[in-house]
Amino acid sequence: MRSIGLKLSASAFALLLGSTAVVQAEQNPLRNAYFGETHMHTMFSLDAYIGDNRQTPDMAYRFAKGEAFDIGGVTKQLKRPLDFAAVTDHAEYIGEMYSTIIEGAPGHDNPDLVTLRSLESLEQKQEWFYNYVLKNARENPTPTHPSFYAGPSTVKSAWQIMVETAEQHNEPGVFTAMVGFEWSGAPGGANLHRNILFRDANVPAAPISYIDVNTEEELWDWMRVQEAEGQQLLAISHNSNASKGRMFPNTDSSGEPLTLDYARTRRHYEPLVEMMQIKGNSEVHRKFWAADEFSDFENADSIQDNSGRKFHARDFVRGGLKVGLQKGQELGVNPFQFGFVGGTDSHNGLMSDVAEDTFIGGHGPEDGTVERRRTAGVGGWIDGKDLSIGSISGGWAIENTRAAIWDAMRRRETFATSGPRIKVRMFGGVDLSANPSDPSAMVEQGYLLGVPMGGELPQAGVAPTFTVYAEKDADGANLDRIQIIKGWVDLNGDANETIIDVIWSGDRKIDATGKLAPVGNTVDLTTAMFTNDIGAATLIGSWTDDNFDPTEGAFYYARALEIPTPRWTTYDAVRNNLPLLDDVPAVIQERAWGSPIWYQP
Amino acid sequence: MIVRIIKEPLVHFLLIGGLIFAAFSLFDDSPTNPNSRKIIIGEADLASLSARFESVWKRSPQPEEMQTMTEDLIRERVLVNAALDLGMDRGDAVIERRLRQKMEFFAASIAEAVEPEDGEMEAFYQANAEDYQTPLQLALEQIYLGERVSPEDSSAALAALMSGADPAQLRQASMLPERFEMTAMRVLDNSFGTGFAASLINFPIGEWAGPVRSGYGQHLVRLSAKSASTLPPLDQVMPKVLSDWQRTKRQDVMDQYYQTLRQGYEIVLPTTDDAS
Repeated sequence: MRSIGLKLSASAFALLLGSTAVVQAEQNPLRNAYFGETHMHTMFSLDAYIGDNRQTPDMAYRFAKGEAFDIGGVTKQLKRPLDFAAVTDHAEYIGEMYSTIIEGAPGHDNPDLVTLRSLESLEQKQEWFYNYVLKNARENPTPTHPSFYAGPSTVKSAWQIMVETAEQHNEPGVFTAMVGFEWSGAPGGANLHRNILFRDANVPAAPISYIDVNTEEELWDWMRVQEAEGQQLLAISHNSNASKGRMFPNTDSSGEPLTLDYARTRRHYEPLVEMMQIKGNSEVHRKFWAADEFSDFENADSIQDNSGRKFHARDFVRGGLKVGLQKGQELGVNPFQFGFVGGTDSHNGLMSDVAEDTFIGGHGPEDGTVERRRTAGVGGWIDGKDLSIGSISGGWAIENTRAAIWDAMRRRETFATSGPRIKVRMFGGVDLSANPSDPSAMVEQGYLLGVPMGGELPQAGVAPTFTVYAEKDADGANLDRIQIIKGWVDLNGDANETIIDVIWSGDRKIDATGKLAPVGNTVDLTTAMFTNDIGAATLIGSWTDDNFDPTEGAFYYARALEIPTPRWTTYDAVRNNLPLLDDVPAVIQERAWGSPIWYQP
Repeated sequence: MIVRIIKEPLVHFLLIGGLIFAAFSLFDDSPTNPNSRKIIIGEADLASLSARFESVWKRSPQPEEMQTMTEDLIRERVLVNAALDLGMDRGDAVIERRLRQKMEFFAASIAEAVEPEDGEMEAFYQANAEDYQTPLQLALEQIYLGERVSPEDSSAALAALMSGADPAQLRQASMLPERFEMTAMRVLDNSFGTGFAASLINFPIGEWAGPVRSGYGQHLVRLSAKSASTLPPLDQVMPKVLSDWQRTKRQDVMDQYYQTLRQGYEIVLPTTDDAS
């Protein structure tokens, strides 16, 4: 029996050898789009644990790869597995969570942790969190470890679990599991959080937290030390919308004006910004961008009701890009030259669970029921109905490996979408042919004669042309249009912007006021269904910047919009036979944002 | 789930686990009988008090501090004993959840110590073969005809291809790859939309066929090869098999442990009359 089994194995082995060569997709020099999650919390984040998250990092990666899990009585499974993912638990309290979770770990039997493990009601949980975390954070200018902290060995042990789990799940060519963590700096309630992602498993013995270093400058100093030791890492800032003017500031954390050194440092360590996540879209806000007809999209206004997080124009990504141009003119280097990625920041271990039609909340019991999503919210942060589900990251890379995806992030050849797997691509250069019709030829020429998204145009005396292409989600809604958003700073140092409709579906015309007619709407609000009878599957086009002035710094980024589809609140209402909510839109136009191309004189 | 036969080693472990548990109860000096009128504070208790103090204050406790903590421990034991006498633990969700957790942790720690027997991995791997199979793969060429194409136009394109027309003359420009080497169906679906690959399974090899609908429109497809799904040898997928086996084993041990305990109880449920 046994020998027959062996023979069978041997022939299976031969078959596999024969097929491995083709299973391993070849590198594509024109690059493929890969989709993934760059912001996910598991039970190793204290706030997630309090919210009943019992998903381990291992389970989070398995979910990303397509496995089904039961969460709060609902079976969740991605319709399409992800290409890459990173677990990014809060570095703060990660050691305390190790003590809490692992039986026999130092500090496991501490009475406060025994209580933590036994909390029942939402009120008890909120009270415990207030007493041990929030109170501490509010009463101390810099946070400290709680009394149940059992020492740095617990931080290392927790980190080791993160690293080993990512190692186990990383399958070059099939699935990329990145090692990462979140540094959760929040001075005075201003959200300055950053996610740190590593290129490989060459990582430090422990992550660094807001308890260890209290300013972003010190975080970069720490990153510099890691780099000197041969590690490759980058930071992604997120929720600039809740940063109280401090994510893209005029001064450093000590109140001094930005310096050339600040600009160089930040630009090097923070090549990316998280455009959107469950706590809102940070691109623009309708209040500051009334002229942008698509700015009223997941504005998450109720964030302003908490911790004094009032919005400013500079808190938004487009505002930050403009401040960056101004600083670039002043200092010679643009500190805020970042590309776009997207994440969920969900605290339930469900990687890129961004489908509007199956939203179950992202914060355990806080937003885990239809009632709480409609009438309550996530304590200290946002109203349930303002949640946006979150977004997804895209990257153009030659293959699906850690190195290739991380390198795409490093050179900012990335994009973010509000959930659907829309692919968007842009090239810029003075020699690009206008009005492309073949996307493959457009891409080849783009790499040959121009720069891809995330890049910088070389010095030029003539107007650059931008070629753009967008492809709908193969399982999703059609596309409405592609726009290019140009921002520039004039010689007086004033920042300006303009939005160009580059290419659109159907035979619509731009009217006398410069507006393109809306694409239409096929959504049936009684059934939450839509059709693809309007819009286009793909769009391709170009735009030449005839107002280009070689003495003015500028950025250009593409935004591709879908036709209207139901918002998650509409699916919630239809599924539960409830009326639609008055104060949130019933339909939305999902979108993709491609990283900018810059010009610096 | 596959119904698994209870293997001897598992039973052994449960027995050992039970013995360890019994031994704990024997040697543990904390009161096992809630009605006991004697409270014994041992050296181990004092050492643990001292260690807990040190972890917070980073120094050893003074004698008077030790005295206070000991008094407090006695107070706790007295009150706990009295509470147990009064049955205050019953029906308290927090206490019950904690006790349940302790039992589950205990069973899990036994499970973690279990090593696979000879041949056990092989058997597990065979029994769950579908989890380890390399997925079915297709190699193909495709022509994108466009988003909205009439049946007449697609038939005409297909006829032209069959009579030897150059595919390049018929296709619409697109970023979708024109040719796929052996590619898993899931990867094809990622490019073309869910269900696309499945609709090609019965296509003839080496002949143009279609039209096939993708998320982008109509396509004509020529399959060049189709691989059966194959089972790689165990050593190639050992890490995954091992981790799956451990996960399954842990659940099995916990279930078995629970079942063993449960057999010691008579479970009385309300009859239909009581419930109504």
